[in-house]
Amino acid sequence: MDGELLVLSRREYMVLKTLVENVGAIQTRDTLETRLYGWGEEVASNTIEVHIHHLRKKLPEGFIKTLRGIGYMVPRP
Amino acid sequence: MSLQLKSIKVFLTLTLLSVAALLNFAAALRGYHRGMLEAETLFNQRMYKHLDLLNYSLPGLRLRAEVDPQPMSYPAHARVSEVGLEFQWVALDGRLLAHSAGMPDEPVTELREGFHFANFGGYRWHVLAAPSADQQSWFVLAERDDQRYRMAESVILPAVFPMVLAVPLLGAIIWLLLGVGLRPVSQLARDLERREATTLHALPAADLPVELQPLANSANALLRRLEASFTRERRFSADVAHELRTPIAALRIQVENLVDTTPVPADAVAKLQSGIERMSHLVDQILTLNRVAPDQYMGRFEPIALAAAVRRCIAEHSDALEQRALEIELLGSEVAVNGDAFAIDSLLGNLIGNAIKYTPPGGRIRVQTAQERDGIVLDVIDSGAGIPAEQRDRVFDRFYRVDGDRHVADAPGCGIGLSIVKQVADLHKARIELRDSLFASGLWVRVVFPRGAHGQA
Repeated sequence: MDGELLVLSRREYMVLKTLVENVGAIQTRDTLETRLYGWGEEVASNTIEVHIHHLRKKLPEGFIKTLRGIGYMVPRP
Repeated sequence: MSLQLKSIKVFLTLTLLSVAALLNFAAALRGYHRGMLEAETLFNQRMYKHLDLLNYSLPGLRLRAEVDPQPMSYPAHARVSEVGLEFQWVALDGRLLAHSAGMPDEPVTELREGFHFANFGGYRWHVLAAPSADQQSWFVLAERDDQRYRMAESVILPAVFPMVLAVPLLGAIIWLLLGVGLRPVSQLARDLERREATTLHALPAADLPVELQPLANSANALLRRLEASFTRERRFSADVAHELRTPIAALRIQVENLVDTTPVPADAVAKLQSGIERMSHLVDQILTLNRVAPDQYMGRFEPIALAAAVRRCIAEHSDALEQRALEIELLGSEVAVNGDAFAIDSLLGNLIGNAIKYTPPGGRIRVQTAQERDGIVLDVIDSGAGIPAEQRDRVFDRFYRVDGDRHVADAPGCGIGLSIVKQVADLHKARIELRDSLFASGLWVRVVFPRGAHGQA
C-alpha cells in the first residue's frame, strides 16, 4: 500500500488475491473456502472470518467490504 | 324475506321438518279428537250398563222402600270414592225414593229419558234419566264431567304424545341423512378446488350420483377446454422463445461488430444493446418458466444448501448491488431443501433480482433462511415501493405488472418473474406469502418449503 510492504500469511494472501482479482464482485464465504481448500488448506467454519479480520488490520479501513451473512468484496474504486 | 336458497341442507331440513311437524300435529289432533269421541260413547254405554244393574236391584230397592218410606242415602264404596258416578231413584211424582251419598235430596234433572247436563255439588255432570224396568219409577244416573274428561285424557294422551315428541328427533335424523346425501356435493367442490392451471385433469363423473353428473360433465368439458388452451399457450410461447434465441444472439454479435467497424453514436448503441438484453431476458424467462412447469418437470430432486445458493445468487448480482449502493444481508442458518437446483436458482434469481430492481438506490434488502416448525422458510425483504395488498393475488399471473405500464420506469422486466417463482414453489409444494416489509416500505416475500414434502421426486 503506497509502496509500503505488507506482510501476509499464505492464507491471507490467497484470500486477498481472490478479492482483488475480482474487484467489484462479491466473493461468497463458500467461494473463499473453496479457494483455500483447493490449496490444500484445512478450513474450519470461521477460518475466513479470522483471515479477513487479520487482513483488515493490515489494510486501510473500508478496503474490504463485508456483506453480512454473504461474503466480502473489494469495491471498485 | 329473501327466497334465495342459502343452504340446501338447511332449507330441506326446515321444510321437511315443518311438513312432518304439521302432519304429525294434525294426526295427533285428529287422534285426540277421535279418541275423546270414542271415550264419550264408552262412558255413555257404561252408564246404560249401570242402569241395567240398578234395574236388577229394583226388587230389593222396593222392598227396602216399603219398610222405610223415607228416602234413603247409599254411602259410596270406600274404594271408589274418587269416581263420581251417582244415582237417584225417583218416584213418578218426582219424589226421591233413594239416592247415593253424593247426590242431593231432590231430582237433579227433569224426568225425561236420555242424556242431559246438570250442575250441582260444584261440578258439571252428565246425567242419564230413564224409567225403571217396571215403568213405576225413574232412575237418574250422574257422572262428573271433569272426571270423565280426565280419565279419557289419561288414556288418549300417552298414545298421542310420542307423535309430538318424535318431531325434534325427526329433525335430527333429517339433518344427518341430508349430510350424508349431500356429501358428494362437498366432495365435488373439494375436487374442483384442487384443480389448478397445471392439474386440469377431469373429475370422476362416473362415481357421482346422477344428480351431480351433469354438473361434473360440464365442469369436465370446461376443464378440457382450459387445459387445451393452457397447453397451447405454453407450447406457443416456449416455441417462440426457443426460435427467438438464435436471432437475438445474432443481433447481439452484429451490434458488437457494428461498434467495432463503424462510428455510431454511443447512446444509440446503448439503447440498442439494452433492447437486445431485454429481449434476451424475456426469452430466457419464458424458457425457464416452461422448464420449471410442474407438469413438464423431468428433473430429479436433491438436497440443496439454500443459504449457499442464496449467497451465490447475490454474488451474481454484485454489479447491480454496487451500482445502486444497496445494503444486502443474509441472516439465519444453513438449511437443506430437497429440490431441483435449476428451479431453486431461478426462484432465488427472480426474488432477489426483483428486490434489487425495486429497491431505490441506497435501500436495504434482507434475505433470511430458517428451519421452522412447518418447514424451511426463505424470506426476501426489500425496502422498495411494495405491492398494494389488493394486487398481491394477481402478481403471480403471467405478464402481470404492478400498476400496469406505469411501472417504475427504470425497472426492466417482462412480468414473468413471479410466475416462475410461483411455478417453482408449486413444483416443490411450497407456499408463497406476500407481506408488508419490516422496513418502512417494501415487500416481504416468504416461501415456505413444507417439512417432509419431497415435491415430485
